[in-house]
Amino acid sequence: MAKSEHNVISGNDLLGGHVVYWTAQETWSADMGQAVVLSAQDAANELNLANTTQNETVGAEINPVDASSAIPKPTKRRDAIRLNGPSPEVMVFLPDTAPAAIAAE
Amino acid sequence: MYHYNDFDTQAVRDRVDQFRAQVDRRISGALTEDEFKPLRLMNGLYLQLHAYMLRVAIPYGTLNGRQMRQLAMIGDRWDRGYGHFTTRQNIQFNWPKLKDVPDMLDALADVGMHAIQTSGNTIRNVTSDQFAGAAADELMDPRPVAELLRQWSTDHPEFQYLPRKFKIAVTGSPNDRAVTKAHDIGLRMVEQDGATGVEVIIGGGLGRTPMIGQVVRDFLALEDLLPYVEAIVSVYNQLGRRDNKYKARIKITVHENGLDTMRDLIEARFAEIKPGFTGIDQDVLADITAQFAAPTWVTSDTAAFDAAYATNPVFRSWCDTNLTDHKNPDYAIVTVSVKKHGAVPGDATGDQMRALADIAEDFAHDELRISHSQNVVLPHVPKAHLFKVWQALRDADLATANIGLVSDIIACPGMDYCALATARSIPVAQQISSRFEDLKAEHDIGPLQIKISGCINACGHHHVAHIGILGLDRAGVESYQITLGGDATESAAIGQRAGPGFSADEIVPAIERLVMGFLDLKETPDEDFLTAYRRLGAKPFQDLLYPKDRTAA
Ligand code: HEM
Ligand code: SF4
Repeated sequence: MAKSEHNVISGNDLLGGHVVYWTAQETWSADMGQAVVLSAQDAANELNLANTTQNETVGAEINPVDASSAIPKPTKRRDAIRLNGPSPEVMVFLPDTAPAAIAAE
Repeated sequence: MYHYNDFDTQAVRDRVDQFRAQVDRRISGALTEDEFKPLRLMNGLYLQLHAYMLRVAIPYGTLNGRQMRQLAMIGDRWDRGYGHFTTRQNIQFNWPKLKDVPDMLDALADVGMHAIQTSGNTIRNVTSDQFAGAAADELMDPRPVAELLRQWSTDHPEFQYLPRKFKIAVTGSPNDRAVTKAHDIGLRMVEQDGATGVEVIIGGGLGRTPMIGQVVRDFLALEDLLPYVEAIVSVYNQLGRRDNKYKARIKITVHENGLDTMRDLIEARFAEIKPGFTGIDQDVLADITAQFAAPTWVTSDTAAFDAAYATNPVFRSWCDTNLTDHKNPDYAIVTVSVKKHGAVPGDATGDQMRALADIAEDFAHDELRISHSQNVVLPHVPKAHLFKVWQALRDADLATANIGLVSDIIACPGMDYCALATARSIPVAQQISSRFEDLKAEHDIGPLQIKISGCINACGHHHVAHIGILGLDRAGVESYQITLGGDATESAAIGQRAGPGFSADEIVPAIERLVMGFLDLKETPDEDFLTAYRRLGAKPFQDLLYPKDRTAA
């Protein structure tokens, strides 16, 4: 796999199933704005740590991002869909799937 | 209609209690994710891209109003107000929370439903003809056999760890609506010398290596069905490859060992185990069959129907498209389209499910079916009620007249939900359906099946579509491959790849060129796409997809 320079770690919340991101405080947040951007090497190390929290979050994985703006942007479509919600829902249920709404939960 | 007996009811409750305890232990941390995952999958609970997903079995796609209303309640209370009907005649809830799932399963158990064996290397939900017990062309209702197989396979100790998942489909009609040739075992009721028996097909399957099933026994007496099926599964259980997940399905076992060897082994095993079947299964079958007795038919005056049909063109168009002949000429089979133009194929809201439950109870002998093409069927509607049924459906936004047409698209969840996907399929279906609605051409085009899968696993049946679309990932970009000439019926065939793939932007225009171009290829206005394809071969269709002045991607 091509190593991206900028990455975030994502997972699914054990209780809710929704997508969460690993933060600089080494906790999980549903807000991509809180995600810590890591080099490939740091991401690999942090993933081990993230994986020790499996009673909170499952399926931790590394996702490449574009870090040029304040909130990291996933570079893969799959990861963008995980962040924003499924295409039809984005049209139909936008407020509910917006990351901010999930964060407020 | 079939009702669970006490044993079933208790078994389902016990499973819910067991799972509730497992969820509690997972939440408390007493179970790790690695320990919990197989347990949740055994109860139909997946983790998808951005939520859990609960897959509920609807055995042979049959349910009553009360069950449909309960599905609506579950969707409203614990999900986002809708459910998704699938090609496996199941319903999936896309947004449950882990702690709610035991309550959802309890609510299902209240109406005799569950999520058992919707996952794992077991014998999955047995599927059947959605018109079973109603179709004019039917030899025998296939559901008693499907139910017998369900009872036999549920928690069957020998078959909980098969080499791979195992899917059985049964049809009672010569016109195969259950895609039996694409299943691990396909069973077709046939007549020989005045007796009704079963043709047994094995080794069909879609996925990465699609194969059309082959006939291993052309006539099997009904009383031999269970031992014979057990013999097949048992031979597969021994020979099936456990070393390679991609070679583990029975289609590969048949392919590698040859049909004749398989037949010899199956027949030998059958002879061995048959004496053990002392006829209890036949008593059970007789019991089940009694429970599937047809409703008490009513005769009613069809004058109102005839008048509405003659005067109301919208109603007439719906009748012409969405009705199928019933074995009782006073009745019709209604297929309710869950494919409104531009909508997500197979998604029904809680309100729509409740409307369907009401209609079934008020007008249609309280029976509903889910079809593998992700629509809902009212199998027994007296013709006198058709106009009222149509009005009620229209009020629920369920009266789209497109069954079997270009916008009646099968689409798997694809990358919008599925963790295995390589591309999206739902938006492609939505755009194709909206586009042909704009063109107002679908009735001229005639019967045409488009089926879309978001990866090689082929949950969307693209291999057996007249026009199949497979979404792949080419270096991070969605690429859609088109196959042509597939067929899901008794003349089953795997579609052939048309040529290079199309990008997400190109796929809808490509389908439009293909389908609109086909209008000029028709020999007669009635000729359908598949017939024309078989008559002309791939070339003229490829020319439509890849015109010379365009460089293919
Ligand atoms: C979380 C969602 C899903 C996952 C993880 C999943 C997984 C898979 C996999 C791995 C296969 C290939 C199996 C093999 O060839 O051994 C498969 C095949 C299949 N699945 Fe799914 N699937 C999902 C959703 C669905 C849905 C929504 C439907 C119905 C719309 C469906 C119906 C089927 C069918 C019909 C096949 C192909 C027939 C066959 O070869 O058995 N699946 N699925
Ligand atoms: S075909 Fe692939 S993308 Fe579609 S539901 Fe099946 S596994 Fe998921």
